[in-house]
Amino acid sequence: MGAVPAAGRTWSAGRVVLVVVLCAAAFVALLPFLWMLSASLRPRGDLIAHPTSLWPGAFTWQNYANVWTQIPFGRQLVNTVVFAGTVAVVSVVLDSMAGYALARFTFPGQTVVLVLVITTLMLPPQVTLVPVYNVLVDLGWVNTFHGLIVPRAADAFGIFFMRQFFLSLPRDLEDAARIDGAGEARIFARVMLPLAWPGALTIGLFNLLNNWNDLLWPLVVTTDTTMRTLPAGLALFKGEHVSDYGLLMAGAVLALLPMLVAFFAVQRRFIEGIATTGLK
Amino acid sequence: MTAPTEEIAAGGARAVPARLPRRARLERRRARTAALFLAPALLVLVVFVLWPMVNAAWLSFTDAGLIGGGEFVGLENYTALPRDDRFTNALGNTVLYTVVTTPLSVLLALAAALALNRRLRGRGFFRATFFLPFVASLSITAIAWAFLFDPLVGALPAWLGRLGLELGNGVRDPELAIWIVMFVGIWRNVGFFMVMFLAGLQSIPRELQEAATLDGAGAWGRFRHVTLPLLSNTTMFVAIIAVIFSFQAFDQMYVMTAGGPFFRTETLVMLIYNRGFDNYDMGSATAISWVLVVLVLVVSLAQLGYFRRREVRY
Amino acid sequence: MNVQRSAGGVAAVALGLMLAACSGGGDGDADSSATDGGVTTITFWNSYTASDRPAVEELVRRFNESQDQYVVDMTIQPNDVLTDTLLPAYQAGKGPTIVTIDASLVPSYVEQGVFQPVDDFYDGAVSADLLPKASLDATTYDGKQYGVPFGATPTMLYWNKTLFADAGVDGPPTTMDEMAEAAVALTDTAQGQYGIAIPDREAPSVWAVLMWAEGGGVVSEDRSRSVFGAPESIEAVRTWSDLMRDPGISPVGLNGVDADTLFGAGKAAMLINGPWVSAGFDDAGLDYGIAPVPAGSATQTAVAISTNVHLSADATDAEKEAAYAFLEFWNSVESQTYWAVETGYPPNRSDVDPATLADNPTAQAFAAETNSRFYLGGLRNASQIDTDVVIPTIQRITNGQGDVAELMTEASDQIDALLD
Repeated sequence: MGAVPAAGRTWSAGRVVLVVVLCAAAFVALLPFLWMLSASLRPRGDLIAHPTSLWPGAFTWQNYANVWTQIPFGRQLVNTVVFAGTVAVVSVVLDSMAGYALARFTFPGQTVVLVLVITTLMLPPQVTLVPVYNVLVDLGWVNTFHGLIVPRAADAFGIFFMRQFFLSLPRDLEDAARIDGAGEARIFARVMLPLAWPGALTIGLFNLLNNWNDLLWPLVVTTDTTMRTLPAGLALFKGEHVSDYGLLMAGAVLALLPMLVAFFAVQRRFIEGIATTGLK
Repeated sequence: MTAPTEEIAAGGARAVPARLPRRARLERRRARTAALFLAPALLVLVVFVLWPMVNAAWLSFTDAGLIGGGEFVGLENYTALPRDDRFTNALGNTVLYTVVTTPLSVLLALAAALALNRRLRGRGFFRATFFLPFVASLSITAIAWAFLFDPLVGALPAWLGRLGLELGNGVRDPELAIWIVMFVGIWRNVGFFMVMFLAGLQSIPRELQEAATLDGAGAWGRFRHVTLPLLSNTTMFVAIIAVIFSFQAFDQMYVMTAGGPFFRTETLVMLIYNRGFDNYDMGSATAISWVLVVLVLVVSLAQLGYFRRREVRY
Repeated sequence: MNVQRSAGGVAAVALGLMLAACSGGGDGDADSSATDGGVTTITFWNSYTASDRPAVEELVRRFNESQDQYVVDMTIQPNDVLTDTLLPAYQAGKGPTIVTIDASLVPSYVEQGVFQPVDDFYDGAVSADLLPKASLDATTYDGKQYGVPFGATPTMLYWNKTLFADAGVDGPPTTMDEMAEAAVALTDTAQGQYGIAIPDREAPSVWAVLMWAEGGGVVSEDRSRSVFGAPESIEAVRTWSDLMRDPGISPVGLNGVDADTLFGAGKAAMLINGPWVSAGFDDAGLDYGIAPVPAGSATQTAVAISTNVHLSADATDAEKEAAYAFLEFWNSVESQTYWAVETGYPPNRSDVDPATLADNPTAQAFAAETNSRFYLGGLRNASQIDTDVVIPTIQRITNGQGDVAELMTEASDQIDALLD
């Protein structure tokens, strides 16, 4: 049998199977990204001549260099950070507040509000695109940052998720604070939000991601090229008839990295969360 | 702490008449507070989501094009649907897609969350890896999958071929295409649902697990009687979201199959997009959208009801 | 309890402030163009992304710098975003002065009232007889001309010289029969080798070329009725789909990218497509030739691809003048020579000396092909006919899901219904 590691945990058959399965699943999860990485690191001719092999026949960094020169990558990155970042932060606040209200307060019509909120999730965004654009035109918000951000400042998904999250938190701390005479705002900010931060962080991450990758919405709201976001810039590498996949994938990899960093940052908080969740 | 698996009845104010006045004032105050907490989010939703939805509903009763108002045609757009082969086909595809991908994604996500919630070396790496499909834009990763699945020059058929598994005509195969796009859909979402489950698992106090172990419960017992019930809020959420996502499947079909071959992978949202933006028939497009909403609403309400009975409130 | 200071109240006030402060500031309120101090600025949307983009940007820049009366403010976006947002933008009064869209979409846009006729453009420096007839025909609707050619090209036959030589086949084929023979000779499905890559969607139509060659097609020349069910069309489709099944000269279900990929990887010996793929094939080191599409028993006609520039119905006279000036510049000999050499497109003008295109052999080759016809031009329901009827029918046929004649006759009836 295998050696017993120092911590006294034995490598049971179950554990080995688990690790093998996890590795296989990880490979499947990563496969397209391996392709993307491969495509980005080889010259176009190599990808065209040898599409089957994942290993580049010839290596080049030229695609990554070209991404910087062919589109204003830096500025589009900034635009994307501003857009997605602001939406993420604002939506966490708004969604948490609304979710908290739905979870902890009873008031007439609360079920209706909940169902209404969930219903807004169900209509495909393609359908509301034109009506929302018209609202923005009426407000004079086309080609503005607030036009980009405010419609996304609250979202049904976040509200619903935070409601579920607040529901599962124990009432004791809240009730204790109320008995102490604390105001609702204080209770929310000092007691509930800290307890709910794994959920808040999750929603923030989700909204950050969604808006980071959103192609259609920024292009509908802004025709000003200085306001373009990364997905719009990347889309310029996709031709109507033919695309340079090496270039497109290099841009996609670059656009992906900040989100990966964000995920790692959030994910580590989860680990820390294990130690602190639970009743104190 | 109150018993975790019992729902607290709402509105305790109905209890004792003698305490009504002060209790009622308290309740009303709390209702006002609730309203203030809800207000900003609701304002945004009402103006930028609900109003366009109402607009879309109105359009479904007209024969409007993409621009310009249309004339009122009553329920015509709706009554035409059962006879519309494209609609029934898309509906069937979407239902199949949902029935297959939802349970699979949710179960796989739960399994992954459970596996990665315990101490395991490299846990961070695995979490990031499973989440990665959700981080990148599906339109782009679908391009990668299209190349990988290509029956003639793709890497996957080449490798599977060596193992003796044939992938037919891949994404161009009328029978196989839908399964491939379903696979891509599951691949995309599992990591995301896993993160939701992880967030939910974090809020289960470890003391409960330890207490159960002390009581003699095995791993499965702990799971069934402690974890699962306490996770029900998150599970309900994930289940509802998973259904909504499945019903709105679009990106990978758009990139990999364009709804083909001959509409075998055309989902409801693809049809809506086609009707609205290619055929400029907004009346029909919005009608189909609302049928979709009602369908998803019915399924979600059923799920809400199922889980409400098991909802955990402290 | 201090309800007033609740977080909700604060947020609501903040939102209100934002709304108040911002509602006055949108510069998107401005017209899509303006005349300011004698300079007319017009907005121009197009979807020339990827490798064509630098050439378009350069020519626009040259125009802006060559004079100081007009300025072209250009926005490039992906094609599907452009078509999604164009009509809503026009409706909101924020549409572009000029825009390029595929010619097949023009009739439906004209019917929505967003374009105005440009017949008088051709009274200027660039006359109609210098420009591709297929493009002009495609954007004629209701007797009026709505477009000025921007990027126009026929499709041609790419053939892999190495594969032909290895198989001992003389190339390129000049008749459809020769092409069929060559395709069969070059097919070895066991080795994953195909004689030709025929896509059924997301590419310039190859099936149209195959049908036109025998005197068939989808819609009659006068656009009044469907000829998809005509015996010539059925025969052409039957011949080629039978060959696709046995011996399997082409894989089934390819889209444009798949077909290009196959040819680029040296797995298909022939491909019918536009000039844009050649740069990639050069990079891949393929030894290939470009030839006119083969002739059939009736005709030798390629598919014409055409994006044209259209003028917004709201354009003022000053903007129209600016637009015409730009389009004359674009279609000048010098600009077109630059365009062709940079992108491989043939020049729009027939009076460009082919010798000046020597730096780009693709452009030279494509410039030599003059027999082309637009696929489903001038039809209001063109995209519906193609996506909802023709493509699925071809897909069914090549997948062996029914009798060719039956499927095509049925489809023909559907097309007639759409033509009304």
